[in-house]
Amino acid sequence: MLFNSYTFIFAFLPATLSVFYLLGSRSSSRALIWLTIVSLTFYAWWRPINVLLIAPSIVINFCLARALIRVKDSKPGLARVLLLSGIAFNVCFLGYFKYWNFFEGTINDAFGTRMVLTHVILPLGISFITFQKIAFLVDAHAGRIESLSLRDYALFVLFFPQLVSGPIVHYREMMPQFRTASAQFNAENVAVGLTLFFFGLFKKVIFADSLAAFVSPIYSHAQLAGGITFVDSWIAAVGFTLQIYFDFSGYTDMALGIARFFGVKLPVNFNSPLRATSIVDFWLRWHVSLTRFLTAYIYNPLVLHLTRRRAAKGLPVFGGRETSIPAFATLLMFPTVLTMFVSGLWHGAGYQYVIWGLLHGGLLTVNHGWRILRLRFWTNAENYLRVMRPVGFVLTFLSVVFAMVMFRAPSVRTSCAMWKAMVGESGISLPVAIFSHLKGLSAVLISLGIRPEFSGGKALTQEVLVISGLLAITFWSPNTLQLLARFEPAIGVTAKTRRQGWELPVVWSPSAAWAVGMAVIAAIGLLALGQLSEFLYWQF
Amino acid sequence: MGSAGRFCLIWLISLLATIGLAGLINYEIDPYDVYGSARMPGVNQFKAQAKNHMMLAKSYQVNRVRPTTVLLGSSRVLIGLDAQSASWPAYMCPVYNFGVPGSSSTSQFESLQETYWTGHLKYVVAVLDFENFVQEDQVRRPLSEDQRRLHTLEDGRPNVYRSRQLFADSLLTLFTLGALEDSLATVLAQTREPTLDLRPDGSANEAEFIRAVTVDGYRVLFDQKESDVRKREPDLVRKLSNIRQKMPNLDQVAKMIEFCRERGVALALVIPPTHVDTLEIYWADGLWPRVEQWKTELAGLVQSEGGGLVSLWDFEAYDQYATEARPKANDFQSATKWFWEPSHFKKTLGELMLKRMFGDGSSDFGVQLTLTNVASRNAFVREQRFAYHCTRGGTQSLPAARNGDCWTADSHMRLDRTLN
Repeated sequence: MLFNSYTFIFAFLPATLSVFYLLGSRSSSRALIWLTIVSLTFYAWWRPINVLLIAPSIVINFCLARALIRVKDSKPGLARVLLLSGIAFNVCFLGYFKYWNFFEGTINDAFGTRMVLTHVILPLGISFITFQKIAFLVDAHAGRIESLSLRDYALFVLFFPQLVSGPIVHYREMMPQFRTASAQFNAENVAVGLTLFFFGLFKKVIFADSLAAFVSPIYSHAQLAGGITFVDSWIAAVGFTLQIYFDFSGYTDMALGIARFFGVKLPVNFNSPLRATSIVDFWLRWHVSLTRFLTAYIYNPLVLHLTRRRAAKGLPVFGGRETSIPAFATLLMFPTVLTMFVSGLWHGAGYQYVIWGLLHGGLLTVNHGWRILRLRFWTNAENYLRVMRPVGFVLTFLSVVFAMVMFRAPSVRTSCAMWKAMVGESGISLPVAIFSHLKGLSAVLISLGIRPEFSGGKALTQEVLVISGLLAITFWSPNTLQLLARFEPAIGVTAKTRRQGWELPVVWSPSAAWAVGMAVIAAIGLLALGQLSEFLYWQF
Repeated sequence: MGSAGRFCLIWLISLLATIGLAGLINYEIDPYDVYGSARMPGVNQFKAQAKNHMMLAKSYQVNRVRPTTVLLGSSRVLIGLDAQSASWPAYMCPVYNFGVPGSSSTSQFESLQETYWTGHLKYVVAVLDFENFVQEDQVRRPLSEDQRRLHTLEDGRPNVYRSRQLFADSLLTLFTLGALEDSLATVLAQTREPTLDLRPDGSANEAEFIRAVTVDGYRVLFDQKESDVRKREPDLVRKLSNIRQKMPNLDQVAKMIEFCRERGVALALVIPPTHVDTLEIYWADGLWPRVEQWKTELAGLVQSEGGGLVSLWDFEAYDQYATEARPKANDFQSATKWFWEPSHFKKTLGELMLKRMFGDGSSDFGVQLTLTNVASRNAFVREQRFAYHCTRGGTQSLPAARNGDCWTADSHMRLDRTLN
């Protein structure tokens, strides 16, 4: 069941909330049991077998966590074995369902073998759920979880607003909220939830889906026929970047909004990443909960381990501007690239996702390297920021757009064809209709090597206008976290949350004007529900 | 009530009001002519956006018209044949035009079934396009929501889910952003001259062609269409080269014949006039023997299955209409009388077709094909082509130059060998 479906909006959600508030008025415990049941129903709706696949995994993880909590102090060795077994179990679980065919396909490609690829059912949201469970086991081992019941654990794993596409949450940030939630109707929560949900729906069905209408045909054409023009390649590249931006942003807002109806705040997951002024900044804003997971459970332990090993051998470790190249390569480049490799693989079982991850790993390494290097010759931080922030913004945007081509393209070959077109390898051309409108300027364009091509200019003009409008919204409109900062729309977001400075100074309040405005936005979103389209991140 | 509570209440009322207003606008403008709302000049007189949901619009229109006669076919029928023509005998009226752009033989049969269940159908005029008979129809199943019909299911059985379909259609036509956009576009289009319209009888006016020739001239339209046909040709040739015996999709025609025969409905199958530019491409690519084979097999089918209720008309020839010359290159002023471009004939020619079939029958335009006369008709058309090329200077004429020389007795023999 999609968040952007009639069934969810007009049946599932109202029914769930009505019963939740009704039960909550008598006993919050019963309301939470109801929430667990409907979460399971939500998960089963898509394909009931999903429940049969995921349920044993939940029970096994619960048992492991219980054992871990019991023995972590008394038998640390056994606790470590239990933790590693749990991680291995979850990785194998994910590996089988998500990567087995990819693994066999890679073997076939590499060694010319002919292993038959079998159809494996991919349980919905398995990547998110698995990471969440691993984080839970690590937290249990680290003593951050004191006690636990199956009911609490099931609700933590299955809580439907974030079940399928995140954010990836921690037990310690969710359970206190469930335990203290009154589970009664709270007008402020509903008002904030409605605003978040319908802003998200609007972004998804109006912005993201309208971009998909012209982005998808270009990628399909590139795959089937090749011969993409310079202009089309840029339209597709920037268009898809905006499509996934609004798609994921919309989904995240809807997840935050639904959780808020139940009085629960989710962590920040998306914070205007296209306004980032560096790739490091980008990853602190894009899919924040995944970055947090990868940093905490892969990058940091790896860096710590490598640093200790180098230190034990008497080799230099990190030292600010004096960092040596071997130390940089071992302690920063290698962990970064490896972490982003995992990130790429996590997103999908395909070469293009792996390359996308590695590309970002490379970009992050360059970014870190530059930060160290510039300390040697550009010490005035204020001056540096004044000059480099806009430069960094443009470079980051272009890097993200270029890398996103690999993320979206159906194959590495198609992606390379798109990149070649983007750098003008097959020349630059514009529709002849545009040439005829430019009159005198057309001679200038031709002298610059820009050729006319026999296609209509109307579609191109519309596409450029849509992309320009959405870029303006992306850069200058306050995001939902900023709009609703006074009402803590996500964990840790408060009225004091810093703004970047170039957004329009608009804030949300539960006023009549906002109610009417939000109703119009909600109505437009609901009227656009005719065509169902999945969230891009649901496939992960 | 606190400010948040007030927010929720105002939000809910405003939401219902906004959605209700959208539904009301869509109902009144009725961009797809689903509800038969009054057509008001300057507001919604011309249904310019009905093209976006043609099947949906036609399912409801035909239900209101409950026709005695239905016209089936592609955009040629939609634009070229007038359901309100004076040539229709009174006993055949009302007539509904169920022409749908790009329709296949399968979808024509489905449209026939849909119309039959409206209750008054007595006559069917089905216009067949040769290019629909080069391979079996690849019909997408299940049909999209706006492709489904009210009376019949995809397999032709009566629609037992009619209430569900009515509900889904109401949702689509009243409470979607697409419908609201089309309502707005419909109102804005009223001031454009000329404005595309899907009339209540299912016919479309020729506004789009008129606009195109006003802006670009006829020559550009002819060139564009010829280019489209040429792009399709290699595919047609490839598909036809795989056919050894019967032409594909004739079983769909057989189904139509059977359906009509069993219900006592008279069926006229019509091969429409096609401009010489398209016919010459068929010749140049060696498809003409297939065209003749197709006509022969159709005549055989009518004779064996028709039971006296089915007739077959052939308007495809090298006659004065089809050989009408296209304007010269860079001539943006000259107009053609009978064709908009090589595929689409004008209503003026459509009128002559209707007169020939249902009027006084005095014209020599088109013939009724039977198994007895189909061979001589084919030979006659070949002779017409011979005369056409010789008149135009044989090898000097553009299409014939690609084919060798103007028609000779030797060429006749080669063609006969191919057909046999």
